[in-house]
Order: sequence, then C-alpha cells, then structure tokens
Amino acid sequence: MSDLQLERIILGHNPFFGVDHLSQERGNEKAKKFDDTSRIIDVLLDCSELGVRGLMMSTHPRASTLAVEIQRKPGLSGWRVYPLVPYINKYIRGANERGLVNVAMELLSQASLGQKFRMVLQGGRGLLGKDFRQAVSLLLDVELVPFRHLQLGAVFLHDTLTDLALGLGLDSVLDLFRDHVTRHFGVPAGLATKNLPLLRERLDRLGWADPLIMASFNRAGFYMNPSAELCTEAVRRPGVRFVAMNTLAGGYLKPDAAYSFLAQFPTVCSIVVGISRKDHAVETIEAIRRHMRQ
Amino acid sequence: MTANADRVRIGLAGLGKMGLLHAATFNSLAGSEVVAAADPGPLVRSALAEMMPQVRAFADVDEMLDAGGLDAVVITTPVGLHVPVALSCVERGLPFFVEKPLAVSASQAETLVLRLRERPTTNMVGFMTRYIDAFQKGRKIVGSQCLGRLQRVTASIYVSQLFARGTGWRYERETAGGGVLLSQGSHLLDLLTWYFGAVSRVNAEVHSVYSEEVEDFAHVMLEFESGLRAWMDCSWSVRHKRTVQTTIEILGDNGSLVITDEDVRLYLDDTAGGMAAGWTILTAPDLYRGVEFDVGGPQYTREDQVFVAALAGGHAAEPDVMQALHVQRIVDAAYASADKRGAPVTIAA
Repeated sequence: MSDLQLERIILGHNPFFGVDHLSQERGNEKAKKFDDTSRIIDVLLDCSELGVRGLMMSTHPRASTLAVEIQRKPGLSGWRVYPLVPYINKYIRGANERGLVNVAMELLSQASLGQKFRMVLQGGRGLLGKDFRQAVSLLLDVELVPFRHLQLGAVFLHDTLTDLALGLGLDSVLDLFRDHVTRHFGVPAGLATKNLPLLRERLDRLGWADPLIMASFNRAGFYMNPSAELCTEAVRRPGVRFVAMNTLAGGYLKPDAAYSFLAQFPTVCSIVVGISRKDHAVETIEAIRRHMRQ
Repeated sequence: MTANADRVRIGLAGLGKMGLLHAATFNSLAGSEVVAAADPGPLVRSALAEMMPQVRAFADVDEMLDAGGLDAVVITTPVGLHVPVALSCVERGLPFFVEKPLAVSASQAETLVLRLRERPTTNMVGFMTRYIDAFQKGRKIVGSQCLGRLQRVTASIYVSQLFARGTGWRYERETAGGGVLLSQGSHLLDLLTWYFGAVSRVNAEVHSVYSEEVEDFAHVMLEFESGLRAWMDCSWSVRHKRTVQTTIEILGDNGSLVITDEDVRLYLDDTAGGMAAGWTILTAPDLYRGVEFDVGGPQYTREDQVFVAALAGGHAAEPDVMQALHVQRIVDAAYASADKRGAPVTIAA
C-alpha cells in the first residue's frame, strides 16, 4: 500500500449532498442551501483558511460539477480529494428499475473509448460473466472519471460494497480494489465499513499490513457494530490507519467531548467531518486541533 | 466459509439487490450460512461460480430444492414468484423467509396459507420496518397507553424513486401485483396493524403520473376493528426523499406521538404509563443499538436473526404469512375501493 500521508482533517460530503443521519428534514434544508455549487466552494474556502486541505467525495451526480469548480478555484489548488466509490444510491435506484446487471452494463458503456474498444474485443456483455474481475476494475475507473483532473489523497470503497464483500466472503474483491487503486492511481486504497472489528479480523487473516479503514467512531456508540466496546478495541489495537467518521454522531456530541475521546487513539490518522457553516467550521476544527496534536 | 454443522444452511432464491443483502447477512450471522443460490440470469450465476465457488449455483429454484442439503430458503425473487417458490418449499417441508410484499394479491397469498395449514412450517415475511429502532420504541410507547384514548392516526411513506416511466418488473401489474401501495405502502400497513390491530374497512383513491399499469400515489382511510381511524398517504414519485421516509403521527387524549425512521417525539399533558409529562425526544443516536453484522441497515440483520432463532425454536417468526395475508387484504380492499371512486370496502375478519 502507498505510504502517502492523508490529511489530518478531511471534509465530509454529506451536508453538501443533503445527507443527514439524524433528520432527513435537516438534510433537505442543507441540500437547498448547497444547491448552488458556489456555496459549497465558499465553505471549502472558509475551511482552507483554517488549514484544511482534504475533501471526501462520493460520485454523486453533482460530483463532476463540483470537481470542475474546485479545479478552477486558485484558493483550492492545494486540496486533495478522497473519492468514496461507488455512489451506492445510483445502483440501488437502478436495481429497483432495471436490475443490477443492467445498471452495471450501462455504467460500463460510459467507459472511455479505448476501454470500450477493449470491451468490444472481449465480447461486450459477456465481459461481466467471463471476467468479473476486469469488469470490476473497469467500473472503478468509470466511477473515478469525475476526479481525473484533481489530486487524489486516497480512494475509499463504499461501506455497502466492503460489507457485502465481507459478508459474502469475497476476499478477492477487497484485494482487487486495493491493488487496482494503488497501481492505477498511485494512492492508498481505503475501505469504509459498518463492521469494523469483523473487517480488521478478516484483513489480519488476509495479511494486509497497516490497512486504511474508515468507520463511524464516537463516544455515543452511534453506527458502531457490533458494539461500542468491540469497535473501541478494534481502534485501540495497533496495525491500522484509521479514519474516523460520524465523530460528532450527527451533531449529538459537542466537539470538545467528541475529540477528547478520539485523542486517546493513536491509530486515528484522519477525521472526516461534515461542515456546513463557517462558525461550525471554526469551532470543530479548533477542537480537533486542540485535542489531537500529532 | 466452511460448512459447520451448527449453522443453518440457507438456499437463496433470486440474487438481485435484496438477495445479495440477505446472502451477506445470513452468511455473517453465527447461526447461519449460505450454501446454495438459484437465479435464472447466466451472468449472475457465472459471477457466483467465479467468486463464491463454495455456494452451489442453480438456474432453477426447484432444482436447488431437489438437490437437498438445505435447512431453510430465503425467497428474494420478483413478487409474482414469492408464492410459487414458497409453495415449493412447503411441499418439501422447508422453512422459508420471503421478502415483502408476500404476494401479488390476497387470493394468491391465500393458496399459500391453505397449504401451510395442511403442512405447517416456519415462515417469515420481510417487513423489516418493524425492526427499525424508532418503530420498535414507538410500539412500546403506544403499548404503555400513555397517550390515553387514541383519537386519530396519520401516516405516510414516501420515496423519490420514479420520475419517468418505470422499466422493470416493479412497474408491471402481473409481476409486481400493484404499485407504490403494495411495494412501499405495505411496510406502513404492516406497522399500523402491528401497532393497532386488524383493519375492518377501507376507503381509497389511487392515481398514476408515470406508470401505466400500477399506481404512483395512494391515499387510504383505514378503520381498525377497535374503531380507531387512520389516514395514510404513499408515493414513490415525490421529490426530495432520497431514502424511504416513513412517518406515523398519533393523537391521543393525553398528547401526541410522532415516529419517523430516525426518531421518536412524544408529548404528554400528564405523566402516564411510565412516560413523563412534556416532551420526550429520542433521536437516532439515543435509539441506536449495534448489530452482529450490518449491511444496508440493522433492521435487516434483526429480522434475519429472528428467522434463524425461530428455526432453532427459540423465537416466533414475525411477521409471518398469516399477518402478511391481512396486509394483502387491506391492499386489495384499497384497490377495490379506488375502482369505485373511494366507496368503502369491508374486510372480512
């Protein structure tokens, strides 16, 4: 795995795209506010002043527009993006309408011309069945197209896919993701999960050294499976580069309480935090800095 | 995964989105493992053969059932095939878990109920909203009778799913059985009957904007056997609901209770039923309980755990086919009422 250092603080994309774990209503309010991409850029610039240089981004339909705006803004030139792939809602919605296989085929058809040519040579639709691994690599490339002109910090696999692979015992998919990201994009490959202790155990067994893992971690035990105790143990145990998300439990915890808790864990390399207002940015980022000196 | 004599051996019928979710879950629980799967799609089968060689792949469900070696079957086919596959399980004495809704119609569900009476076997229907923290807490609060005499219930289930003509089986009457009322509204009907008991009378209107064969909107008045009345609204063609959003609002003589997928908001005039006067607000972090393995939400894990526990005889498998039949009868009554421009339709007890 690549040794590139991750940003200590990475902004989360959820508020920008209307995702809120505590209230869909509140999520909708944020979606309205950030409907105008320039308001997202304003938040990024505010955070830039506070020394933040990292942004987690799913391949949401608006990702391309946002990526172009980031690239254009001189004030954001030092920023690195952390894609979270794939945008899982797209697959769920598509599967509700057309079936999973058809959704995958449509996405594959969006691959660049060169790749398409390769697919035609290999028998088009037959590719999914004949060479599942190559199809997965190609889907990954398609997902990352919106970010091609930006600097990447790492690429994370969405927790739904990590956990599906974990549950189904598809260890080779996890290996494939890591190898493809590190070889083709030259950045670390991270795994997002809702099952942190189980994933650590599996990766230990597969012989992954210092894996990069992202999961919910907070003193409220919110979104932590199977229990807060076992997740805490999994973060405490050395041998992982851990990216903590949901650190404020969706706003349930105050920053000081949240980050004094996180400061006990040297394995925490980065914190993903959702910011939608400048005052909130100042309060949160200062609290992280105060409690989590490197 | 290695075969383990202590784990329930599961066969999956249908490997679409829900099939994958349940496969990953059952495979991760301590008490179960997936050993076989049937799907007519050759691409799905070849991917399965390549990626999970330990799982026997079949093109046909009956072939999978005849091959033996299963303790239970999980049915995640399109709705129209739920009952035929369940009947195949009953013939072989195999317990089954079937995704919701149970059937395309009450009469199709009845054939299964009749056969189960002759050959009882453990069965469960995947109305997972019962296993969402907030709705479990809501039912406890309703059960405490702190609200006093119940006056009125309003409920809704919405999702932003369809804004053009739908193209899959979910929008064909023959395979899906109905539109948003059966697909999403059935979750809400399961919750409401779980909270308030059986429904005796229905008035409904439905209409479509995008679908040709099924409804995109349904508005339903329900009268429970207790006399309580509820009004519910559902649609998969409303904006700004990126995930399914379910709300139940209950008014009582002593206060009000609002339950959503994320939270519970209780207001009481006076302390009652062990609940304090004033506001009691429980948000998602207050209500969250971790699960053994989570992919897609803890509610799926909990229902799958209940099914595995039921197979060991330690737990009732709920909701079961009988309870799901009542939901089908409400849906059929709503469609019949809508055909008569909202005239009341009675449901036999």
